[in-house]
Amino acid sequence: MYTAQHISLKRGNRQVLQQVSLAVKPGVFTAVLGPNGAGKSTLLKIFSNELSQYAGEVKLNGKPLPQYKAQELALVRAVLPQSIHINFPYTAREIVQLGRLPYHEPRQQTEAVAEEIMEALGLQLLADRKYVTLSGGEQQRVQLARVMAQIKNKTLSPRYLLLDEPTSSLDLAQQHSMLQVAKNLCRQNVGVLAILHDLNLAALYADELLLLKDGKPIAQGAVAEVMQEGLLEKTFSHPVQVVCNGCCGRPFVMAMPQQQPKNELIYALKFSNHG
Amino acid sequence: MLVLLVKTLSGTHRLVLLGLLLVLLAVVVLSLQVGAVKITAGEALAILVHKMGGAATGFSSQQEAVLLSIRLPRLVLGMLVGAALGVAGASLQGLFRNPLVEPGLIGVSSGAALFAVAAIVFGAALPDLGSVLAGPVMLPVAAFAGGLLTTLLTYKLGQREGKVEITILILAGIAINALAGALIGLCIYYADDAALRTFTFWNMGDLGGASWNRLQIAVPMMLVPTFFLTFLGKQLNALALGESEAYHLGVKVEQVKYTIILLSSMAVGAAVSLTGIIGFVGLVVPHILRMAFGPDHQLVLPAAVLTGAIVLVLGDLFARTVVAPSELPIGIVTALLGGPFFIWILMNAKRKRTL
Repeated sequence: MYTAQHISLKRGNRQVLQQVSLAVKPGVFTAVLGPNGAGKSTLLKIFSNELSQYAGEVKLNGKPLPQYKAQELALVRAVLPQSIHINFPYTAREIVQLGRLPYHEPRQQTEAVAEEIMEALGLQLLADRKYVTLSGGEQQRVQLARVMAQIKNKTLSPRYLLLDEPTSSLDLAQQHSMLQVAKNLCRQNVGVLAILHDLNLAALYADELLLLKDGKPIAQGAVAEVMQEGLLEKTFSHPVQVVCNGCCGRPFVMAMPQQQPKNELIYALKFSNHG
Repeated sequence: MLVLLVKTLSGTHRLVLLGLLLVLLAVVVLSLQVGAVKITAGEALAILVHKMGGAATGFSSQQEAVLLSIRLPRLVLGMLVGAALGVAGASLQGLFRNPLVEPGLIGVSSGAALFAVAAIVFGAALPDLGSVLAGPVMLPVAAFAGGLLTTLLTYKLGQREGKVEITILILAGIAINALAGALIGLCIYYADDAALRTFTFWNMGDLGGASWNRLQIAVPMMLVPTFFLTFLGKQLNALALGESEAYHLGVKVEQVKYTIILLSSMAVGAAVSLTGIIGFVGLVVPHILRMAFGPDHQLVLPAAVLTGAIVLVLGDLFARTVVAPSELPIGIVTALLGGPFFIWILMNAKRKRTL
């Protein structure tokens, strides 16, 4: 279990996070949703142990996070950021092999793990290309392979993957294949915590959701409980309709046009005529 | 530690390092032979065997004197300075995640130059101090202290909330460099002709003053940081992804940053203090290695040690033979040969799109 309890964080006068508790369970895909500035990324940074000035406690597999050494932590949790820019001409293969850095293992072992994961993700053809020459989507898949290589080990203790808006530079098919890979990892006892922007991607792949607004949790729990019009409208300050997705029985969220008062609408029309 | 380094290298990387080692050996043998007094490789070997107490003959006492008190210390100094500049350049480029960085950027060279010029110009005016740090020791000690002080100042300025921010660090380096430049100008303004000449030649780099006495200070000052920098390849590879990402991979980022800045400024400060400013090596050696063998720092760092040494020994060989019996300052040679060579490499890389 990867648990955060009563997390609060203040930056200057701004309350970035207020009494947020979240449990990421092994084998479960947890997604955090919320508007920009809700504190999602800050929460992820607290989970990854990059931030330490907060109130509350985070525990990983029963041990408080601050007691972990950097290398020890790297063996059980990996982080995939939005996108990574690299200045040196590393090949895709070298980037994937970097995932094995926390392991003090022979070279052959590193190479074998990297090959296996690149094959599983269909990256063999990109392996010898320079990372900088890859498209945004390809780069993100290489990084995904790297973090998978990082948490691939034989220990019995659960491992965790933190994803910070992993799909933001991907096209439709790539978005789904990325989240499907994460979902498959859950079946291998990996706990996934992802920040997502697309409500419907979250509805399709996540098991549990946390809605965050202005640093406060609006709702959390199973997808079906949380994906409700009232809660989503309150979180995003925007009208939505939730219908049932015919094919898979998952909720489907449609964003509605913003309702404007009538005289405001007329003003907008007038304005556009003059413009 | 060395065994560990070799174990984590791939087969090709081991071959590359072995090849560079052989080239260095060849360059060393060549460098010992060439000069005003001819010494063949066999004679050089005989002299060394004799020196170590073995029974060997077939050389003149003049040859022995030249080899042991002139050529050998100069060669050792050249190798050490080259190795230190090469590995410091490579590790700073890795740390700053920027292939254009060179050791001078964080103020090492200009700080060393400032203290050196101050020692040259005003040292004579302080008779008490002058007698304490008499003669040849004063200049290197002042330069080393200057290099280290300016680097620490730049480093302090580059910190925010206990963490080093690379952008601020680089900007602070620019400011410190400008300030040091102005102060150097001020010192030169007050200098007499002799001091001016001494500083000018120091500023162009010179291996000529090598002696076993000076090497006693030089060897630990350069060898220790060079040795430890060589083993930071893994951490630098992780840092290429970004600081957060390196931390996620289990790297103690702040500690690595601190170590690299301190060790490389020690290595470069020591090098500059003993031989003056030798440009190009720290910037270009890592570049050439990355273009030839890829950016993996586990190879680039040890390879930069060897290649830095090769480049400087070759440069020195050129410097002391091309206008014999006189010699050129090594700093001019490295820039004069290295500049066009680097342009040629750039053109090649541009055409092949390997950059």
